[in-house]
Amino acid sequence: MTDCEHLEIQRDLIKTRTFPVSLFQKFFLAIKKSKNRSFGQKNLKGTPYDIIGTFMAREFTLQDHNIIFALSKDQFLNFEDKEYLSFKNLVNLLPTYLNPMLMQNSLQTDNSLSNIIHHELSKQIEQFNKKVHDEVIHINHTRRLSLLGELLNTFHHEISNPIFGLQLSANLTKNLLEGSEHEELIDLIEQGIKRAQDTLQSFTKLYTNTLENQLIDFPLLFKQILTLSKSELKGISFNLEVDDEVKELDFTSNPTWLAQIAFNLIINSAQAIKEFNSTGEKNISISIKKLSSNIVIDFFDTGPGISEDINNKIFQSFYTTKSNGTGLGLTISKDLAAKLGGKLELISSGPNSFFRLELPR
Amino acid sequence: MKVLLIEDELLIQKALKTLMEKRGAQVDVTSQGREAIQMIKKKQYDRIITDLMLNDITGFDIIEETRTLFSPVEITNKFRVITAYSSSKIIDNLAKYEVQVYHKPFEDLNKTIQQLMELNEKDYD
Repeated sequence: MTDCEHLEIQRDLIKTRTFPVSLFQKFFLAIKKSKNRSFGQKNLKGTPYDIIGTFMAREFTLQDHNIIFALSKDQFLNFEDKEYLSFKNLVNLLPTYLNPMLMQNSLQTDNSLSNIIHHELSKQIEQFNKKVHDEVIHINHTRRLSLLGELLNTFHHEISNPIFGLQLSANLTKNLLEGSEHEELIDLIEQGIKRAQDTLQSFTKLYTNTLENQLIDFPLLFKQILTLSKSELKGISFNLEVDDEVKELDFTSNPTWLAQIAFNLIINSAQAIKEFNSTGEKNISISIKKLSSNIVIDFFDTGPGISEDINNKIFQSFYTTKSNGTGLGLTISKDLAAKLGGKLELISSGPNSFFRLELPR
Repeated sequence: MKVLLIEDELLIQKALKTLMEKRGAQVDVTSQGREAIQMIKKKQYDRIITDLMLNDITGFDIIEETRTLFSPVEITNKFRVITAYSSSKIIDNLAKYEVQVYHKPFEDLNKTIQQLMELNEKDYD
């Protein structure tokens, strides 16, 4: 035997080629000797293979046949550990399919091998993707938060310093202009400065990526959230009711996560109410009370509610009804609620929506 | 009283200087940390007020670089730190000198200016 078979599958395209055994053996030995699980173009020198980018390869011997199995993503990125694991699982399965084919000696013409590889591979990749998917959402959110935290620190310093300078200068000028017609102008300047400072404070407080629990002052927390959702809440009335029983409690939780859940729900409500375009009452109400040993935060709105056919999907990641939504808001909120040891549920979906966030004390 | 104010935000620097001068202090200013160190070495100040994040070095570095000139009690009494951004690490570092830290923006401007100008009477005993 002087020639060997080369079977190439590119997505659904199957190519077969033959080339000298000597070249094949050289490559076979190289893979066998390599401790490295992934290979690059340089490993292909002197071989007839035209794989693009990094690839994973394994060699094995079945019924006097030497076989190389290589898998490439057509990319130059290194493979992740998990991808290599999928690949290994697939390679371990291959002999089961290859053995009967080799017995019939029908490898070179039989398309079923490519189908099997294709089928098994998609199965593996699907499993792999599903596992990674949840983690990715979580990691992305954490990364975004910590990046946002870093940016905010710099932003906070760079903005608050000049604003403070303006505040001091306005204060000085005020004394100079006392009794003059321009005095009111300085008052307006001071008010503007105060508003800028408050917004900056709210932002920084809400997005400190803290892992520590803090004493929660609900009225203050919601005041900060409202400052940030002000533009979305235009034309919508807002009520916050905190039970006296709750006020007396020393309730500790993670303020950043709590604020993010509330922020997501409030923004969702506001957008739904606006889209509803009704002439009726436009209101978001939040009530906080104690229920047995838990703290319960109820979010009501006078929006259209959530239609029945989608209310089991809203917490699914990437599900969105907004044209520019990411479909992650409620997924992350539910995830954060779980991290706080509580749960977020849709209690009543329509008309008007009613979400409940329950947190352990 | 002689005050050195180290602050690189010019609006803050000028305004604080004026506000303190109105209350009778003589105020020298600089926006450079290294220059401040030279000034502290040359002249006796009753109070040194420094921003934490300067362009060249930090306010904490200024205290470290000049600490051989003063006793620990003098450091505590002389230095005041004003800061907009407080990394907990720097605040922790400052704690060992027991230097009072004021956060910008000041909640009550007049009160803070007054506190910044209050000298510990023990200094003159």
